[in-house]
Amino acid sequence: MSFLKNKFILTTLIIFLIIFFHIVSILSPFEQLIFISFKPFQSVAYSTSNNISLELSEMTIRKNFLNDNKKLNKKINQLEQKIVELKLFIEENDLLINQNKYLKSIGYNFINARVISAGVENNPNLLIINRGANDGVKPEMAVVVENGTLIGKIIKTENKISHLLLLTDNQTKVSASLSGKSEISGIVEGKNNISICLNYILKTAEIEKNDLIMTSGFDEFIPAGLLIGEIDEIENNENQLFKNAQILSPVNLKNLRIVSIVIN
Amino acid sequence: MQKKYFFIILLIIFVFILHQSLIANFDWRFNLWPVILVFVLFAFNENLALLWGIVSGFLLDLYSILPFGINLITFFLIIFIIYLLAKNFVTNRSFLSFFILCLIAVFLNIGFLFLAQKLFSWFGNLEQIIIFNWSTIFFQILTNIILCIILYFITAKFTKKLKTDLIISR
Repeated sequence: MSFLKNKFILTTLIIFLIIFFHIVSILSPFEQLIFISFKPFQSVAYSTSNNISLELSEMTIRKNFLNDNKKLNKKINQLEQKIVELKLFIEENDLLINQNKYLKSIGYNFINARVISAGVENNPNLLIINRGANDGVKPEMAVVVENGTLIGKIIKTENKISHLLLLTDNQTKVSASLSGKSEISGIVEGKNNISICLNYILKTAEIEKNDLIMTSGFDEFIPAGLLIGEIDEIENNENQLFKNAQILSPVNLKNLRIVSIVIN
Repeated sequence: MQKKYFFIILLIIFVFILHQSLIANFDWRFNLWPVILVFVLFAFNENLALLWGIVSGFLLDLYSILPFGINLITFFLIIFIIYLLAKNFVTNRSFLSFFILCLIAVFLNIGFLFLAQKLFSWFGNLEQIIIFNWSTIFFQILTNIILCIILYFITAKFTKKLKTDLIISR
């Protein structure tokens, strides 16, 4: 029995005995006892483990929710931005349709242009549009917006872009007359770079508030009949030779996006 | 003496319940017994390691889907081989030795279980229930390495059973 002193041989023997006893079911009561006695501990450990696992998965879900929320917020922002862009596009499209319809109805040739930036010079009345000499744009051409309202004229062209000077600029000069009374005429000029004035109206001319002012057609590139605005206030200084009138443009000159250049 | 072994068996049962119910509940299944056995062998002695191997192997076999005795024999072979290696080749008691022995034990465990499963699926109608793929093997090795590091350094910090030298202990 000396080989039994070797613990590894002894262990091998024990292992084979255990296996044998298991196969012949001698160990069965002992095994049942183990199953029964382990059950409560195992269930406690398992439920604890489940709780931990659940807590971990909830944490993961919460984390995923946060990530999803972030992603969705980002998407909402992108979509809102897209909606704004689309609304702008629709608005511009409507504007363009009206503009084109009107200009076509009065028989003018025109090209549409987009305001791409303000002028680099420190002048709020100077804008840059995306049409240039290559598109047939020339200096002094009239620039109009919806329903043919004159807003300014081209002062300089490059191949691809042009510089537009608004009517509110002091340097802009456009010959104009009263709608329906073409004999009453004057020169439309900017005043203080913020408003439009009709100057050089004869003292004898009968003008009233809300009279419409149109282009007279005396300028080389500006056709007659383009609306400039309506008379808002009349200045009739006795010491001066002419009357002046403040003109109110129907167009908000601060927010121009699409314009048309009359090219005939 | 008997009281000591009784408490050791209680501890093994506790570790078994903890391992099987607590750890095995996570999505990734892993078997930390090879490192536990090597640790007992390395930090204590082969008698205790054999006791751990028999008790844990027996309990695992009771709950295992594999034929009874596979875990018992596997654990016995692991302890035997690791004991031989520790006695004759990896005699230094540094962390590196412990790490190498743990790795060998993990590979032995994977290898024996793989062979057993193959063997019984050839000769019997046993399904190949244990998944052996690169990710499960990798995860098995990784978890055992983590436990190996934790066990070694905690024991080295609180007892004088292991040396704190990483590569060669003097």
